[in-house]
Amino acid sequence: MKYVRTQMGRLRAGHWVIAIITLATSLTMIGCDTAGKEEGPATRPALAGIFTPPAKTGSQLWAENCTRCHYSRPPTQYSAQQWDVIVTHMRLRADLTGQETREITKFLQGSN
Amino acid sequence: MDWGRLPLMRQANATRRRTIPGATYVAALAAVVWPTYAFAQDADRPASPPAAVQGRADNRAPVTREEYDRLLAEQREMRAELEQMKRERAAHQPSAGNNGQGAPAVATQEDLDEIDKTVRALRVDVDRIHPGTEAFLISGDASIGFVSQRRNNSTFFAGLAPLVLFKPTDRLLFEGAVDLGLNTDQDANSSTSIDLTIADASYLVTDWLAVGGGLFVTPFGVYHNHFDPPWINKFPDDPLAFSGTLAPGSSVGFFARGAFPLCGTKVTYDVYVTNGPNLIVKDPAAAGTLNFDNFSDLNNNKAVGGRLGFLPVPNMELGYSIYTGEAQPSGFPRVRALLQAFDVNWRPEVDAIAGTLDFRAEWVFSDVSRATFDANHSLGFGPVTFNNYRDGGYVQLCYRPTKVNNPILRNFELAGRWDFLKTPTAAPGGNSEQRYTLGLDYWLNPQTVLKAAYEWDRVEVGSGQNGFFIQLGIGL
Repeated sequence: MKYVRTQMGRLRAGHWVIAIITLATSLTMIGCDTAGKEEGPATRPALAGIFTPPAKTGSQLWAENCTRCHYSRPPTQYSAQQWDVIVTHMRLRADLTGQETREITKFLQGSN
Repeated sequence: MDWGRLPLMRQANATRRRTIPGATYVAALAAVVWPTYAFAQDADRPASPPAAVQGRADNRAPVTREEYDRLLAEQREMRAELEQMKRERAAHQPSAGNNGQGAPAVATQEDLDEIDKTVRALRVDVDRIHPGTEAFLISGDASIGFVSQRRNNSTFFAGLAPLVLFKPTDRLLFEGAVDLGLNTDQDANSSTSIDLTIADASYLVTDWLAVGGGLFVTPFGVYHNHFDPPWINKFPDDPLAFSGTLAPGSSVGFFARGAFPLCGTKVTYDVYVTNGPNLIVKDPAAAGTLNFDNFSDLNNNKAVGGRLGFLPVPNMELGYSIYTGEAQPSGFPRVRALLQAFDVNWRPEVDAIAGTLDFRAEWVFSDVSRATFDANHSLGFGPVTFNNYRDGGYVQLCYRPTKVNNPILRNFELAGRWDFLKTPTAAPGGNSEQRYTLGLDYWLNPQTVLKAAYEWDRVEVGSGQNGFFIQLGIGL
């Protein structure tokens, strides 16, 4: 632990900024391949098995992600447009993926 | 022989006859050619003569005017019948309430699904054109309650924390929140506190990445980011480690965050750059502690931090957070702060106990460079030098009988928590404190909970403040 603290102390903010930019760029490049389109096995055979999300319905994702922190509000509590805003907010707060966000939104809008 | 009645004329207008000059020569030529032509015509005909001439003894005989008129009349009659049949058929085409046989139609499930789908699509369209509600929403939380603690006067309390969400485009979201509270100081001056806690904009770059900036909830640990609203927190108060001095609440800066699947699991991440904490150096009661409300930076060194989360199964999350930056104010020797945290939460449904368990635990440790405070004794409490290492955390377990049949019993939740905070005893205000809290909650609906809790407080220096709390937490 002392070694870790020493090493961390040597890092300056500039190093962290570079690391953050590198990480963000990498995730952007990877994420661009999957944003807004269906994953196909022929798209990226090497990555498809690693980064393919488990096939789950919107109701499953809603139950799993929302109830990890709080009890779920009924879908009828908000309108379709309001759910769109709220689930986007929850994507940021609860670290949902874009795919999960779309599936949950679709489920809530279809159930209200 | 009547030339005007040659068989060739059956294909022409039978009424038209004409006598041509030199008819004798033509007649002679026809007498020679006709047998050959007629034989060839017979050879090409089918064995069975056409119906139109079947009843005639000689099918090569020319059509008389009478026959022609009869055939024409029959054709007109058949045409009229055909038109009549078409009209009748058109009149019996399937329509709403009728099928092709004229019997009442029965709507199938597919028809109903199609209608339902259409209605939902229309509802979305109608919602979309509602004025003022297209992408704007006010949410948040509120709480009211009562607290009675040893060595303090009992009091009622109330708070409101509206959250404003605005989504002008599909990829852009603005969030704003304030904490409204009531305060009364020792001189009986009452006031309403207003603290801006969130004012940020986020842009969704890809499915796995969002970036943004502003004043945002610092993703250090998970308590402030996930669990502290009164309708989510199972207890009426915050754990000691997240009460203000050990872990950051909101920060000003820029962030990137997201999540991605990994081999059937899920990984979440947050990285950020902020103004960072400010070391308190002049307060005799708090020197050495970090002030995280450093909204206008007091030095040019920024703090950086991040959190990495791992979800091996959907109802469990493990996380590690780190946060570091220089914290000294102007004129004070260089001081670096390094904060780290581990967190875990797990929410299994257990049939054996007919309910759901909710386990949450976090451990935060803060290491600030050793420094001397009030070195020249100008502030009256120094010089003071100490190892500025602090840590704190909590472990809580809740049980709700979600699988019992009794609807009243199903809404109760039993909650237990142990939390602690250790600060250097050599530091101003230094102490070690730990609390045991037992609570009973009743859920009126998924976002409204009535909580009652008793807290046993143990401190190393002085006496603890055991207390009784009642709180109604509401999610707006």
